[in-house]
Amino acid sequence: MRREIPIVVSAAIGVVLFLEYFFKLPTFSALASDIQNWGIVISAFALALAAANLVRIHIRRIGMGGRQALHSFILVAGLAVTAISGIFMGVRSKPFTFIFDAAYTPLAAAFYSMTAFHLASASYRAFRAKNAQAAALLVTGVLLMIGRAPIGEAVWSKFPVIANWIMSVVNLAGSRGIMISTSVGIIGVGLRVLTGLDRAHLGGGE
Amino acid sequence: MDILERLGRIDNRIIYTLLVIVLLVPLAKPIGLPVSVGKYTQKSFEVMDKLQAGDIIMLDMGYSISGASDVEPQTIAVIKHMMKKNVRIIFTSCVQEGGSIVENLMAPHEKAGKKYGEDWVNLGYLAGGENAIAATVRDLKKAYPKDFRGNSTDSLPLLSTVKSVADVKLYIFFTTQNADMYVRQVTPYKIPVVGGLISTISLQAEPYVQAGQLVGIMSGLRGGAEYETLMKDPGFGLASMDAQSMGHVLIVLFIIFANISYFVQRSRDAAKRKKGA
Repeated sequence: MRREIPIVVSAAIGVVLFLEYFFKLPTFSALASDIQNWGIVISAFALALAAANLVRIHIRRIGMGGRQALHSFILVAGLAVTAISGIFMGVRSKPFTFIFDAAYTPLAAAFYSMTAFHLASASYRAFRAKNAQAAALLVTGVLLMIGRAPIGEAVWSKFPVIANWIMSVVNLAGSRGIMISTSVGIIGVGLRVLTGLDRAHLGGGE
Repeated sequence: MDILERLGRIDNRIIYTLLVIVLLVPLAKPIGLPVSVGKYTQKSFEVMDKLQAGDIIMLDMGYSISGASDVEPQTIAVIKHMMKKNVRIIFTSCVQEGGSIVENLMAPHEKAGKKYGEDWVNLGYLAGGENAIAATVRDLKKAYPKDFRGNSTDSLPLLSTVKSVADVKLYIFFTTQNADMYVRQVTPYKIPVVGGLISTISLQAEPYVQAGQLVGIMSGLRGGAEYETLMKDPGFGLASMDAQSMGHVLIVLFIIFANISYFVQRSRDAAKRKKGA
């Protein structure tokens, strides 16, 4: 029963949402709306569960000591201060907006900005025309980098035309193929889950 | 080791330092390279420019702070454009930071006189990803009983005539993820949908524009710069394009150096092998 009930519940929900989406049946409309809102509540609880699990793991690490303990302490303290200021003082309160604007925003932006440096280094080390395929990748990459930036247009007006052709014809053909095959795969997996043939999401190693 | 070999073994610290310099200098002193406007940004601008004063649009803030550098210039330009035209905006968000980002972006407009609840509302973050988008576009107030500021959504005048996304003139999303979930959940309501995406993801959204499911898309920093060009109101997007150009040129130069070094080394190795044989 531990497996059968979740399969029946997920199949029933899937069928209601499926019929409502494709056939707009008024009978199912209110029910589908309720199911979607239950989904939102479950997602919110999942976030709370994730936060609780994060705290549990890092408190254990703090207890173990060592170099990692300091990092874990910073994480738990940061989480606690942010959560307390947001929950008890409000998300528009001064402490919360200060944490968001003065700590979170610059840290997150700096973290993402580092990809520019890794990209520069990786392009330099990996883009070598060792064979025909690598040469094709190299030429395409360089044309796109030049053609998509204003400097390319300033140097030669045809650079953006070539870059756009690569994007809109060559790249799009590949993207579309991937999208269609992925969608067919998702439909297959969806049907297997709805009919109970795929039970991986229930756990238990089957 | 001669200079040609060295060209292939440049230290990361040198690459990083040069990159910082070529990015910072144009930001401090812009070169002013012209930016042409792509057809997808043009389409996005046209549909938004046709909106009338008092029209209501829904804007989903689907990008996190980490991806803001690529998408935020577009968002700022679009909000500025809409506020100038007195179009009213319902902000929703499917990322945790969304509500706070909206407050920051709308602060100057609120100071300039735009009234909260009448000209714009910030509904904040709703957990659940695609499911949250589906619930929002289906029944806005049911999905959001309260807004980001803690007001009941029933008390907000702007929402009095809006039950679902079908009651707004346009849906626009800015995201660091792909456009798939928006296309799946919003396009069945038969309203124009525009997307603002990061440049690496925007390619995946092009088939939706060609199919007519999205009216237009804006691609990354360049999309923001193009939108600013169309608005004739230069902002951070246009200012950043010079830095991006210089960054790309530097990377291309390094790639050329690396390949010159590689081919020289390879021909030397081949010559050595020939000699040895």
